[in-house]
Amino acid sequence: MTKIEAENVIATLMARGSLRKEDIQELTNTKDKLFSDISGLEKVKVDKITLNVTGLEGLRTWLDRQKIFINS
Amino acid sequence: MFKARIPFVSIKSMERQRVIEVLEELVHETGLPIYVHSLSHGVKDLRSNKYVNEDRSFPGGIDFAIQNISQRNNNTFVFTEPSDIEDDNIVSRHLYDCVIQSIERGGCIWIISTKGIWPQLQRLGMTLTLNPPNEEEMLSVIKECVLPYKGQIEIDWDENDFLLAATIPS
Repeated sequence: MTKIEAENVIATLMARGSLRKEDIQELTNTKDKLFSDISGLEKVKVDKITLNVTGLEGLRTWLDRQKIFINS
Repeated sequence: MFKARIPFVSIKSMERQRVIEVLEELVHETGLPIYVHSLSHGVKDLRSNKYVNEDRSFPGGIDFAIQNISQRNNNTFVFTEPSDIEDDNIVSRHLYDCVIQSIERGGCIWIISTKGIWPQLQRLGMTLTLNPPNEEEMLSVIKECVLPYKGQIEIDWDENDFLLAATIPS
């Protein structure tokens, strides 16, 4: 995000008259919208299970869990 | 790098104002003369913050730069909206000639653009890329936006929230 894009998002949030903790999610939504129009980029939602795959131990745990599907 | 007097520098960035802010800091630190050309205002002297040439066209700005560079050493001209410099044409050759004049007089021509540049012109200098703000810069951007309004609007954010808010856009 460029500086001016970030400033615009913050200004939009503040124009509502307050800045609450929930508004931080709005930053993520705005960033998603900005990048959704760029061709060649696909948004991938990363859930906690996917994150656990990182690292050798994470990969082993994930493979153990998927073993039944891999061998079938 | 600025003191190296590289005759032609192209800055790849879509954040024109952010580049100019950096140049303003540079002028403040070094006192070197830097002139910025824009299509809406012509040429502005960043040291005095005054407009010195009202010709707003890009070729008019190049003419002004050539004229100044031939009269004074070590001038730097920054063009914010260069057009038609991607290939071999009259405008890119005009700018090429301006850069050649700069080499002889210790001047520098900088352009801010996201487009390509005629290779013969590009090979007279170098290209820099200004990346979007990192987390640290974004944190200061967000704080500069929010903190002046503390007391005027309800702000629930603590330091961790500001840090998180800075991480998301960067």
